Amino acid sequence: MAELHIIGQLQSASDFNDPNSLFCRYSFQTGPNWTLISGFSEGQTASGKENFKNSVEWVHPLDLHYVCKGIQGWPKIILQVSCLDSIGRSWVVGYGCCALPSTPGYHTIKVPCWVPAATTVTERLKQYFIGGGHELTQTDIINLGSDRFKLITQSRGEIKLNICIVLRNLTQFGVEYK
Amino acid sequence: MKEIELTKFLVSFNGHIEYVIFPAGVFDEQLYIQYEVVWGIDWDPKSGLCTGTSQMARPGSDPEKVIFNMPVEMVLGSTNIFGWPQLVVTVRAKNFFSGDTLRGYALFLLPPVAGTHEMTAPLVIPRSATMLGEWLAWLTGRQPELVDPRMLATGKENYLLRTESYGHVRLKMTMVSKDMRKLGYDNMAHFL
Repeated sequence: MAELHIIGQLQSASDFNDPNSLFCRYSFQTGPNWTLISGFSEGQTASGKENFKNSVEWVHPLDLHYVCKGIQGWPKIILQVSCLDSIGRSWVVGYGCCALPSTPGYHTIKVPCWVPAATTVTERLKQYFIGGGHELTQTDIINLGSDRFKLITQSRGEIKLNICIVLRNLTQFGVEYK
Repeated sequence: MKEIELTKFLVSFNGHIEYVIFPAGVFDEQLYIQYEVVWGIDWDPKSGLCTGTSQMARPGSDPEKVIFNMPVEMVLGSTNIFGWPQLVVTVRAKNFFSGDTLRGYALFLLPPVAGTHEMTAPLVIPRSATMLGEWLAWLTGRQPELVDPRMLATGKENYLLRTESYGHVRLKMTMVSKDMRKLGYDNMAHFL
Protein backbone atom coordinates (compact mmCIF):
# COMPACT_ATOMS: atom_id res chain seq x y z
CA MET A 1 0.00 0.00 0.00
CA ALA A 2 1.05 3.52 -0.58
CA GLU A 3 2.34 5.42 2.39
CA LEU A 4 2.60 9.05 3.33
CA HIS A 5 4.82 10.53 5.98
CA ILE A 6 4.23 14.00 7.29
CA ILE A 7 7.13 15.27 9.31
CA GLY A 8 7.74 18.80 10.32
CA GLN A 9 6.93 21.49 12.77
CA LEU A 10 4.06 23.71 13.68
CA GLN A 11 6.39 26.65 13.66
CA SER A 12 4.81 29.91 14.72
CA ALA A 13 1.94 32.32 14.63
CA SER A 14 2.47 35.88 13.56
CA ASP A 15 0.54 39.14 13.67
CA PHE A 16 -2.14 38.02 16.07
CA ASN A 17 -1.26 41.09 18.16
CA ASP A 18 -2.53 39.50 21.32
CA PRO A 19 -0.99 40.47 24.66
CA ASN A 20 -1.85 37.06 26.11
CA SER A 21 0.01 33.89 25.35
CA LEU A 22 -1.28 31.84 22.45
CA PHE A 23 -1.52 28.13 21.89
CA CYS A 24 -2.76 26.06 19.01
CA ARG A 25 -4.80 22.89 18.79
CA TYR A 26 -4.41 21.00 15.58
CA SER A 27 -5.99 17.98 14.05
CA PHE A 28 -5.37 16.17 10.81
CA GLN A 29 -8.42 15.14 8.84
CA THR A 30 -8.41 12.54 6.14
CA GLY A 31 -10.88 10.71 3.97
CA PRO A 32 -12.02 7.14 4.61
CA ASN A 33 -9.24 5.70 2.45
CA TRP A 34 -6.59 6.79 4.88
CA THR A 35 -5.42 5.06 8.04
CA LEU A 36 -3.04 6.49 10.56
CA ILE A 37 -0.43 3.90 11.49
CA SER A 38 1.69 5.85 13.92
CA GLY A 39 1.84 9.35 15.30
CA PHE A 40 -0.85 11.54 16.73
CA SER A 41 -3.45 13.16 14.53
CA GLU A 42 -4.40 15.64 17.23
CA GLY A 43 -2.44 17.72 19.62
CA GLN A 44 -1.85 20.98 21.35
CA THR A 45 1.20 23.17 21.41
CA ALA A 46 2.77 24.97 24.31
CA SER A 47 1.37 28.41 25.02
CA GLY A 48 3.84 31.05 24.02
CA LYS A 49 4.10 34.79 24.37
CA GLU A 50 4.60 37.02 21.37
CA ASN A 51 8.15 38.18 20.88
CA PHE A 52 9.26 41.58 19.66
CA LYS A 53 8.59 40.57 16.07
CA ASN A 54 4.92 39.90 16.89
CA SER A 55 5.30 36.19 16.47
CA VAL A 56 4.70 33.31 18.84
CA GLU A 57 7.20 30.51 18.40
CA TRP A 58 5.76 27.09 19.14
CA VAL A 59 8.12 24.77 17.25
CA HIS A 60 5.81 21.87 17.88
CA PRO A 61 6.98 18.61 16.28
CA LEU A 62 4.66 16.78 13.89
CA ASP A 63 5.28 13.20 12.82
CA LEU A 64 2.55 11.17 11.18
CA HIS A 65 2.52 8.01 9.14
CA TYR A 66 -0.49 7.31 6.92
CA VAL A 67 -1.33 4.43 4.68
CA CYS A 68 -3.76 5.07 1.85
CA LYS A 69 -5.88 2.96 -0.43
CA GLY A 70 -6.82 5.88 -2.64
CA ILE A 71 -5.92 9.51 -2.86
CA GLN A 72 -9.40 10.84 -2.16
CA GLY A 73 -9.43 12.78 1.07
CA TRP A 74 -5.79 13.80 1.07
CA PRO A 75 -4.91 14.97 4.62
CA LYS A 76 -5.85 18.41 5.78
CA ILE A 77 -4.73 20.18 8.90
CA ILE A 78 -7.23 22.12 10.94
CA LEU A 79 -5.91 24.69 13.33
CA GLN A 80 -7.49 26.49 16.21
CA VAL A 81 -5.52 29.19 17.96
CA SER A 82 -6.57 30.16 21.46
CA CYS A 83 -5.19 32.61 23.94
CA LEU A 84 -4.48 32.08 27.58
CA ASP A 85 -4.52 35.18 29.74
CA SER A 86 -2.75 35.85 33.01
CA ILE A 87 -5.63 34.61 35.15
CA GLY A 88 -6.03 31.38 33.27
CA ARG A 89 -8.98 32.17 31.01
CA SER A 90 -8.81 31.05 27.45
CA TRP A 91 -10.83 31.68 24.32
CA VAL A 92 -10.48 31.14 20.61
CA VAL A 93 -8.66 33.80 18.61
CA GLY A 94 -8.32 32.11 15.24
CA TYR A 95 -9.40 29.26 13.02
CA GLY A 96 -7.52 28.01 10.02
CA CYS A 97 -7.42 25.10 7.66
CA CYS A 98 -5.05 24.01 4.97
CA ALA A 99 -4.73 21.10 2.58
CA LEU A 100 -1.37 19.44 2.80
CA PRO A 101 0.79 19.52 -0.32
CA SER A 102 1.11 16.35 -2.35
CA THR A 103 4.62 16.81 -3.64
CA PRO A 104 7.45 15.36 -1.61
CA GLY A 105 10.06 17.59 -0.03
CA TYR A 106 10.01 20.71 2.10
CA HIS A 107 7.04 23.00 2.25
CA THR A 108 6.54 26.18 4.19
CA ILE A 109 2.84 26.70 4.59
CA LYS A 110 1.28 29.89 5.85
CA VAL A 111 -2.28 29.49 7.01
CA PRO A 112 -4.22 32.73 7.35
CA CYS A 113 -6.72 32.68 10.20
CA TRP A 114 -10.09 34.18 10.93
CA VAL A 115 -12.34 34.30 13.96
CA PRO A 116 -16.07 34.97 14.44
CA ALA A 117 -16.37 38.71 15.01
CA ALA A 118 -18.24 40.66 17.64
CA THR A 119 -21.42 41.82 16.00
CA THR A 120 -22.82 44.48 18.32
CA VAL A 121 -21.25 47.52 19.92
CA THR A 122 -21.74 46.20 23.44
CA GLU A 123 -20.12 42.94 22.53
CA ARG A 124 -17.20 44.76 21.02
CA LEU A 125 -16.77 46.84 24.15
CA LYS A 126 -17.02 43.74 26.29
CA GLN A 127 -14.38 41.96 24.25
CA TYR A 128 -12.12 44.97 24.40
CA PHE A 129 -12.29 45.43 28.17
CA ILE A 130 -13.04 42.00 29.56
CA GLY A 131 -11.82 39.69 26.84
CA GLY A 132 -13.47 36.63 25.45
CA GLY A 133 -14.81 35.91 22.03
CA HIS A 134 -17.16 33.85 19.94
CA GLU A 135 -16.52 30.22 19.29
CA LEU A 136 -17.88 27.99 16.56
CA THR A 137 -20.22 25.25 17.73
CA GLN A 138 -19.90 23.38 14.46
CA THR A 139 -16.23 23.25 13.73
CA ASP A 140 -16.67 21.50 10.40
CA ILE A 141 -17.34 24.91 8.90
CA ILE A 142 -13.59 25.51 9.13
CA ASN A 143 -12.82 23.04 6.39
CA LEU A 144 -16.08 23.08 4.50
CA GLY A 145 -17.24 25.70 2.09
CA SER A 146 -20.94 25.42 2.76
CA ASP A 147 -23.07 27.41 5.25
CA ARG A 148 -20.57 30.17 5.58
CA PHE A 149 -22.78 32.96 4.38
CA LYS A 150 -24.27 33.87 7.75
CA LEU A 151 -20.94 34.00 9.49
CA ILE A 152 -19.36 37.36 10.26
CA THR A 153 -15.67 37.04 10.77
CA GLN A 154 -12.65 39.09 11.51
CA SER A 155 -9.21 38.52 10.02
CA ARG A 156 -6.39 37.48 12.29
CA GLY A 157 -2.77 36.55 11.84
CA GLU A 158 -1.00 33.72 10.11
CA ILE A 159 0.22 30.35 11.26
CA LYS A 160 3.42 29.03 9.77
CA LEU A 161 4.02 25.34 9.26
CA ASN A 162 7.23 23.74 8.09
CA ILE A 163 6.38 20.38 6.68
CA CYS A 164 8.29 17.74 4.83
CA ILE A 165 6.30 15.20 2.85
CA VAL A 166 7.78 11.79 2.13
CA LEU A 167 5.81 9.44 -0.07
CA ARG A 168 6.28 5.75 -0.51
CA ASN A 169 5.22 3.48 -3.37
CA LEU A 170 2.75 5.96 -4.81
CA THR A 171 4.18 5.69 -8.29
CA GLN A 172 3.77 1.91 -8.14
CA PHE A 173 0.03 2.43 -8.02
CA GLY A 174 0.05 4.83 -10.91
CA VAL A 175 -0.36 8.02 -8.90
CA GLU A 176 1.28 10.92 -10.69
CA TYR A 177 2.19 13.72 -8.36
CA LYS A 178 4.97 15.43 -10.25
CA MET B 1 26.68 -12.33 -4.02
CA LYS B 2 23.40 -13.50 -2.63
CA GLU B 3 20.65 -10.98 -2.90
CA ILE B 4 19.18 -10.26 0.48
CA GLU B 5 15.91 -8.49 0.89
CA LEU B 6 16.38 -4.88 1.67
CA THR B 7 14.52 -3.56 4.69
CA LYS B 8 16.77 -0.92 6.15
CA PHE B 9 17.93 2.44 4.97
CA LEU B 10 20.74 4.54 6.30
CA VAL B 11 20.84 8.29 6.76
CA SER B 12 23.93 10.31 7.40
CA PHE B 13 23.83 13.78 8.89
CA ASN B 14 26.86 15.95 8.76
CA GLY B 15 26.95 19.54 9.81
CA HIS B 16 27.51 22.26 12.31
CA ILE B 17 25.56 24.21 14.83
CA GLU B 18 26.99 27.46 13.57
CA TYR B 19 25.95 30.27 15.83
CA VAL B 20 23.37 31.69 18.21
CA ILE B 21 21.83 35.13 17.74
CA PHE B 22 20.35 37.27 20.46
CA PRO B 23 18.87 40.35 18.79
CA ALA B 24 19.45 42.66 21.76
CA GLY B 25 23.04 41.64 22.34
CA VAL B 26 24.67 39.11 24.61
CA PHE B 27 25.14 40.20 28.19
CA ASP B 28 26.48 36.93 29.49
CA GLU B 29 30.12 36.29 30.12
CA GLN B 30 30.12 32.92 28.47
CA LEU B 31 27.60 30.89 26.53
CA TYR B 32 27.66 27.22 25.75
CA ILE B 33 25.37 24.80 23.99
CA GLN B 34 24.45 21.20 24.50
CA TYR B 35 22.88 19.16 21.76
CA GLU B 36 20.99 15.91 21.74
CA VAL B 37 19.74 13.92 18.79
CA VAL B 38 16.38 12.31 19.45
CA TRP B 39 14.86 9.60 17.28
CA GLY B 40 11.85 7.29 17.22
CA ILE B 41 11.49 3.62 18.05
CA ASP B 42 12.48 2.08 14.75
CA TRP B 43 15.70 3.99 14.57
CA ASP B 44 19.13 3.06 15.81
CA PRO B 45 22.37 4.98 15.71
CA LYS B 46 25.22 3.52 13.66
CA SER B 47 27.99 5.96 14.38
CA GLY B 48 28.63 9.43 15.70
CA LEU B 49 27.85 11.21 18.91
CA CYS B 50 24.22 11.67 19.79
CA THR B 51 24.94 14.21 22.53
CA GLY B 52 27.56 16.86 22.95
CA THR B 53 28.58 19.97 24.79
CA SER B 54 30.30 22.88 23.13
CA GLN B 55 33.08 25.16 24.22
CA MET B 56 32.44 28.28 26.28
CA ALA B 57 32.01 31.10 23.82
CA ARG B 58 31.59 34.83 23.85
CA PRO B 59 30.63 37.27 21.12
CA GLY B 60 33.17 39.02 18.93
CA SER B 61 32.79 42.28 17.05
CA ASP B 62 29.12 41.53 16.42
CA PRO B 63 27.58 41.77 19.89
CA GLU B 64 24.49 39.77 18.89
CA LYS B 65 26.21 36.70 17.57
CA VAL B 66 28.00 33.92 19.40
CA ILE B 67 29.76 31.49 17.12
CA PHE B 68 30.21 27.89 18.17
CA ASN B 69 30.64 25.97 14.92
CA MET B 70 29.92 22.83 16.84
CA PRO B 71 30.13 19.75 14.62
CA VAL B 72 27.28 17.25 14.60
CA GLU B 73 27.93 14.02 12.76
CA MET B 74 25.65 11.04 12.91
CA VAL B 75 24.70 8.02 10.90
CA LEU B 76 21.39 6.41 11.74
CA GLY B 77 19.57 3.46 10.33
CA SER B 78 15.89 2.67 10.27
CA THR B 79 13.17 0.66 8.63
CA ASN B 80 10.60 3.42 8.85
CA ILE B 81 10.58 7.17 8.36
CA PHE B 82 8.37 7.62 11.40
CA GLY B 83 10.40 8.99 14.28
CA TRP B 84 12.73 10.93 12.03
CA PRO B 85 15.65 12.26 14.12
CA GLN B 86 15.42 15.69 15.63
CA LEU B 87 18.06 17.83 17.20
CA VAL B 88 17.44 19.53 20.52
CA VAL B 89 19.85 22.34 21.28
CA THR B 90 20.07 23.81 24.78
CA VAL B 91 21.74 27.19 25.10
CA ARG B 92 23.07 28.00 28.54
CA ALA B 93 25.01 30.90 29.99
CA LYS B 94 27.67 30.95 32.62
CA ASN B 95 28.11 34.09 34.69
CA PHE B 96 30.14 34.96 37.73
CA PHE B 97 27.19 36.10 39.85
CA SER B 98 24.17 34.19 38.64
CA GLY B 99 26.01 30.98 37.86
CA ASP B 100 24.69 28.62 35.23
CA THR B 101 21.41 29.74 33.68
CA LEU B 102 19.25 28.64 30.81
CA ARG B 103 18.98 30.81 27.69
CA GLY B 104 16.64 28.62 25.69
CA TYR B 105 15.90 25.46 23.80
CA ALA B 106 15.83 25.06 20.05
CA LEU B 107 14.33 22.17 18.17
CA PHE B 108 15.38 21.20 14.65
CA LEU B 109 14.01 18.50 12.44
CA LEU B 110 17.08 17.03 10.79
CA PRO B 111 16.61 17.39 7.03
CA PRO B 112 14.62 14.55 5.45
CA VAL B 113 15.78 15.68 1.99
CA ALA B 114 19.26 15.01 0.65
CA GLY B 115 21.56 17.97 0.28
CA THR B 116 22.82 20.84 2.37
CA HIS B 117 20.30 22.79 4.34
CA GLU B 118 20.65 25.94 6.38
CA MET B 119 18.08 26.11 9.11
CA THR B 120 17.21 28.49 11.89
CA ALA B 121 15.19 27.62 14.94
CA PRO B 122 13.92 30.03 17.56
CA LEU B 123 15.08 29.71 21.13
CA VAL B 124 12.21 28.92 23.45
CA ILE B 125 12.37 29.52 27.20
CA PRO B 126 9.86 27.98 29.60
CA ARG B 127 8.08 30.42 31.87
CA SER B 128 6.48 29.93 35.27
CA ALA B 129 2.82 29.05 35.06
CA THR B 130 1.85 30.99 38.16
CA MET B 131 2.39 34.52 39.39
CA LEU B 132 4.10 33.20 42.53
CA GLY B 133 6.47 31.16 40.43
CA GLU B 134 7.30 34.24 38.42
CA TRP B 135 8.12 36.22 41.55
CA LEU B 136 10.21 33.39 42.90
CA ALA B 137 12.07 33.18 39.63
CA TRP B 138 12.75 36.90 39.77
CA LEU B 139 13.81 36.79 43.45
CA THR B 140 16.08 33.78 43.24
CA GLY B 141 17.30 34.47 39.71
CA ARG B 142 16.59 30.90 38.74
CA GLN B 143 14.36 30.43 35.73
CA PRO B 144 12.29 27.30 35.22
CA GLU B 145 14.01 24.65 33.16
CA LEU B 146 12.95 21.40 31.61
CA VAL B 147 14.13 18.27 33.38
CA ASP B 148 14.47 16.53 30.07
CA PRO B 149 14.59 18.81 27.00
CA ARG B 150 13.91 15.79 24.81
CA MET B 151 10.25 16.16 25.70
CA LEU B 152 10.12 19.02 23.20
CA ALA B 153 10.79 16.54 20.42
CA THR B 154 7.93 14.23 21.36
CA GLY B 155 5.33 16.99 21.42
CA LYS B 156 3.00 15.02 23.64
CA GLU B 157 3.09 17.00 26.88
CA ASN B 158 4.07 20.35 25.42
CA TYR B 159 0.64 21.80 26.02
CA LEU B 160 1.41 22.11 29.72
CA LEU B 161 4.23 24.51 29.01
CA ARG B 162 4.19 28.27 28.92
CA THR B 163 6.95 29.71 26.87
CA GLU B 164 8.56 32.81 25.53
CA SER B 165 10.97 33.09 22.68
CA TYR B 166 14.05 35.16 22.21
CA GLY B 167 16.91 34.65 19.83
CA HIS B 168 17.63 31.88 17.40
CA VAL B 169 20.10 29.17 16.53
CA ARG B 170 21.59 28.56 13.09
CA LEU B 171 22.32 25.07 11.84
CA LYS B 172 23.91 23.90 8.63
CA MET B 173 23.30 20.27 7.90
CA THR B 174 24.02 17.94 5.00
CA MET B 175 21.94 14.83 4.61
CA VAL B 176 22.91 11.82 2.55
CA SER B 177 20.73 8.73 2.44
CA LYS B 178 21.29 5.18 1.30
CA ASP B 179 18.66 2.74 0.01
CA MET B 180 15.75 5.07 0.67
CA ARG B 181 14.74 5.20 -2.95
CA LYS B 182 15.19 1.45 -3.30
CA LEU B 183 12.66 1.01 -0.53
CA GLY B 184 10.17 3.06 -2.47
CA TYR B 185 10.50 6.30 -0.55
CA ASP B 186 10.32 9.57 -2.40
CA ASN B 187 11.52 12.58 -0.48
CA MET B 188 12.79 14.80 -3.28
CA ALA B 189 10.87 17.63 -4.86
CA HIS B 190 12.14 16.78 -8.37
CA PHE B 191 13.80 13.79 -9.85
CA LEU B 192 17.39 14.71 -10.49
